[in-house]
Amino acid sequence: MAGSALRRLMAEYKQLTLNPPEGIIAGPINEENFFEWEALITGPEGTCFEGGVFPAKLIFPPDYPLSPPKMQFTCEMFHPNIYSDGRVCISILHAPGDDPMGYESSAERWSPVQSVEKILLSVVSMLAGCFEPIYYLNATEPNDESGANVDAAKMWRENREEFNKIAERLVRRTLGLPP
Amino acid sequence: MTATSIKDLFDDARCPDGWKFVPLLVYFPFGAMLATIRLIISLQMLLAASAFQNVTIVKKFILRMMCNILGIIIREDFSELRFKTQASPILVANQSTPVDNLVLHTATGCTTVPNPEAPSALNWLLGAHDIKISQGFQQLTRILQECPSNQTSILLQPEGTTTNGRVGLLKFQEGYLEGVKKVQPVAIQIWRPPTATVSPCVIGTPWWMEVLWLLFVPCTVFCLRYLPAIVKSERETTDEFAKRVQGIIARRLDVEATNFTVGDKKELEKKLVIAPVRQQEQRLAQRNAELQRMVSQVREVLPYVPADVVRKDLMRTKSVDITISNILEGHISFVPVMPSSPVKSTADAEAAKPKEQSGGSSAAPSPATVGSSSSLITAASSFPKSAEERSMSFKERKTRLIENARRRYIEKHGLKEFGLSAS
Repeated sequence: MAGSALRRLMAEYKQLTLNPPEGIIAGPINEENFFEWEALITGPEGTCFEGGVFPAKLIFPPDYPLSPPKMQFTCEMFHPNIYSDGRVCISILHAPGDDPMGYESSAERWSPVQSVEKILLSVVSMLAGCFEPIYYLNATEPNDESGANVDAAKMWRENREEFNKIAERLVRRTLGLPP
Repeated sequence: MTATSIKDLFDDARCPDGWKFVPLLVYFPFGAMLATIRLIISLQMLLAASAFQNVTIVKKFILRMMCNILGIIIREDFSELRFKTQASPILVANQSTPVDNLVLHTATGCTTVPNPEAPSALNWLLGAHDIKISQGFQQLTRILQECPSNQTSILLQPEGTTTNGRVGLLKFQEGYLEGVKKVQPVAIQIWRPPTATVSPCVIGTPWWMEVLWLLFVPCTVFCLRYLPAIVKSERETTDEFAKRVQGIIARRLDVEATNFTVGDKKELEKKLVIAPVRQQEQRLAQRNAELQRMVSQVREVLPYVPADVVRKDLMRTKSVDITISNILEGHISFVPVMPSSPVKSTADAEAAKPKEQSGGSSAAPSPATVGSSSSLITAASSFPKSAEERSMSFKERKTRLIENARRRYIEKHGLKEFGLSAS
């Protein structure tokens, strides 16, 4: 099992090295452990996260690509789909059976045809404001299940200006610039 | 008896191995031709013989001729008999080939019990038609009792099947000698010239194959040795009598009288002939399963590659790794499969993309673009073979991405005035 996971990861690493999407870079932190990757994601242009280079960690299961990897930002993040500890919660990181957030309506789930590249692209669009699922943002009373970061969701909805300010601060921090 | 195994009674290969095989190879074209000609002539002869079924002298002459054409040479040895006549109308012989009954019929004019292994037409031609085995041995006994009056004799081969004639005799089957008081034992020995030493009895071959081989060899000498008559004593049971006859014939042939039966031969046939076929099938199935396993292994890694494409390459490479790299390096062309999972079609196209891109042009992004000050393109020009180089390239590209993004940000927001360096 681990053998085929390794082969697949190597193939994806090669792919991402030679043909990465713009502003994205990913690979194993140390090749002695191919199941732990680091990724840098540039905030998409025209969004509050524009210009920031956000580092994240990807942990792959031994039965990858049957099971999805886990992704966690290693920098401070403020986003409805990202827990305060950096864990990313989007549908592509969940297998169809596994449904912690009640994403039933979401189309894009993890399957072996997905890839690291597609996860990273999904995260880019997530940063661009395509929050998912959308419905919880309109929920009148946020509960535990309404998002990874309820405060962020609430602020996004009620105080966009403040949200953008926080995002700007985070962008600068990732670039080593003073706020 | 304990030392002899059932396997020794039969040959498992038709031809000798080693240097003895060479003359046979040379002889083969002649043998094949001979067999064809003999087959055609003998069929006609048999028909002719059947027409003269009741004219003994003509039939005997035709059969003699036919035997000569077939390469059957009959030698009769009466030396152990006081008179050159059979002591009993009931001939009991061992069985060496499927044509024993033809040979003895030719030599003595005896009729036979139908050979259960041969087709009924052949049995009929040999005059065996008047005794139906299905009617049981009571009828045989009755006919045998009538034998002296109609001056014919009958051949019994109580072994029931052939052996190679070198090691042992099979146990005489019960019933054959039921009610028989006196028998004329005949020991049949066959000899074939050394140019074509093919075995007369190979396990698992049908009777007609044996006949074809008989036609193939230049000649087969049948030596019929008539032994002194054996009379059943009054105290003896049929079984004991059969055993005694078997023992006497076996001793004369210088072979062992074994306790193995026709059933044992059938079992052995199953083991030697049917089992290997099954084993081969099993091996084939196993290989298929192994291939299937490898196919699914490759497809776990590359699910968008069709299974038949993977299978074809695997049959060539026999290695999961080689096939994966063949596919990734674009040596194999294929149409990506669309999975049935709930993924949007655009996503599928993206999934298929790696294959097209990983071809020769994969290193396309030129270093110039990579190096440009505000570029966020992170592509490397190559994917090094060693882990160390890859790791270095990865670190370098990470640093460059951050630097470039930083420079870009500073330029965009005009942060120079804060005195920050872009390096």
